[in-house]
Amino acid sequence: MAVILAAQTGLWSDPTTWIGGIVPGPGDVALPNGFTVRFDADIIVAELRRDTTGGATASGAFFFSISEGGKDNAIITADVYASNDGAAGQTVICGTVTTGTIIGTVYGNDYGPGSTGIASGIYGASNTGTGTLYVRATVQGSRGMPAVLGAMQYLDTTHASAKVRATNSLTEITLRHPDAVVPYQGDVRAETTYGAGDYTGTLAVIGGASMNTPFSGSTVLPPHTPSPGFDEGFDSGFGA
Amino acid sequence: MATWFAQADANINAANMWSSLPAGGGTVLTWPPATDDILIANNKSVRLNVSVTVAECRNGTTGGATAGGEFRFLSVSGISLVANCYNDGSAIGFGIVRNSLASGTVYVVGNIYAGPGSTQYGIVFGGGATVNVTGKIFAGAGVNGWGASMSATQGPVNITGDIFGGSGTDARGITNATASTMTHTGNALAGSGSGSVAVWNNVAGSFTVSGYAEASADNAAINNVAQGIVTVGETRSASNGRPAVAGAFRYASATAAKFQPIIAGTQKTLAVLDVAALVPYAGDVRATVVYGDGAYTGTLPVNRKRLSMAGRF
Repeated sequence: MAVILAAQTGLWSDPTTWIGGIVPGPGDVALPNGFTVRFDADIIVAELRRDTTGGATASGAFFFSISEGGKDNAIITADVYASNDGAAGQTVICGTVTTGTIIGTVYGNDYGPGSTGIASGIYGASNTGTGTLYVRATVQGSRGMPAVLGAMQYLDTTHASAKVRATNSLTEITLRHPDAVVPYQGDVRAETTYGAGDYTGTLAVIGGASMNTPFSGSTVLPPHTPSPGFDEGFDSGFGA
Repeated sequence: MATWFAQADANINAANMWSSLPAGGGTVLTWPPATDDILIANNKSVRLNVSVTVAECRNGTTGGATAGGEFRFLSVSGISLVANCYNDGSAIGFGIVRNSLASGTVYVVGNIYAGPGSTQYGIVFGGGATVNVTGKIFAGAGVNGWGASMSATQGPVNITGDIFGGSGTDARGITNATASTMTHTGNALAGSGSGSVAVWNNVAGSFTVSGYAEASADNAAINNVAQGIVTVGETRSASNGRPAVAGAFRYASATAAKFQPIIAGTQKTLAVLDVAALVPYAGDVRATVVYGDGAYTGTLPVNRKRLSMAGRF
């Protein structure tokens, strides 16, 4: 992961837009650093921020734009964070009639009642035009600031998620649609698939799980006698 | 039903206060009026010193009256104005109803309407007394035609009924420019005029909407522009996806909160799923996070093509 700052106003795909001449890619964190960066292609990065990460100037913005070389309906796969450095503005702005899509979570800032030095209008994203801004999920800031300013839509019911704040103690709760990709206890059973392909990583099995389905592939197991539930198709990888 | 015209800046039940003709000389009202009567301020300041029940209070030119005037709580606590109140003729910066009582409690039962002109308010909260309004509050068609104006240091305000933004520019249902407490039992609905939110909160006060806040295509229902604490029961986005609240807010309940956004073009409801069901959220399905350990029995099927496993079992 690298933190990459804009060097000048320009198009995302132009290396001269970025300090070091490297266009941010998967796993990177990108900041406008006081400049305007227009999406001219679909992009994948880890985070878009508008704060002082990496010594950046906490201003500027990333734009969905149909002017000056911007791509209409660009698809941005990234989490987007509002600035917590007090400067008014939005990290990603959807302007004019542009349609923009953020496949990721947009976060609100941590200002609000009880904090000081506030500039109004600090959001993760905004829609200042008449186009449509699609977002996968949103998270209110710790003091209740919304993630998005202006009209927006969630991409789909299965992934729509709004983490919000409730009650005077500002409890964080998550609001979701009943069709969301969330397996209820009673639904965790054979032949039921949730969010196939959406999640990557390692499945950790803790406690006394038993298994009755053969599979092949590598596993990471300590020297241990397999339970009777493992049948002949199980390849433990340790020669049991 | 009769229409009565105020004849002096005086108490509402003063002798010879009400005439059947705007300029006087007609029938004089024998107090009290009938409950279906209409009282016209006739450009007078009518002081509410006793409770009164009528159909309407107005300050426009109905029946040839002179536009202007108001109905004002000033020195008597514990009284009620029961009427639908229409500002259809006040001077700039005035309402059809005003509270100037310093302490105690007064009541308004009925709907309150801002006027068609600029800064013709519905009700103005200006005193330290508690004001309880039971009825709907409507913003107007004029610029800054606020349904209710909380424009000075004042006591708590309690409203039971829906609050509506208007069609005029910045015609807000309620403008809260004070640091007092506002409790609203009902819903807040944005208007169609530019900036015509239902609730505009610009101070460190506390503003609670027990029902839902619903945006219009042009406006949020609530705009919390400063450090106030805004609490809502539910939020509803407009058909174009405009959120119900701009600025910081919180839901009243951690278990009953609802949010109706637009999802792929259709309004749907997001809510707190069954917490007791031990539901892991998508982002939480990862290593080292445990849900309901020991709560599940049975067998775990494993996709033979995709799985890698780490751990002890």
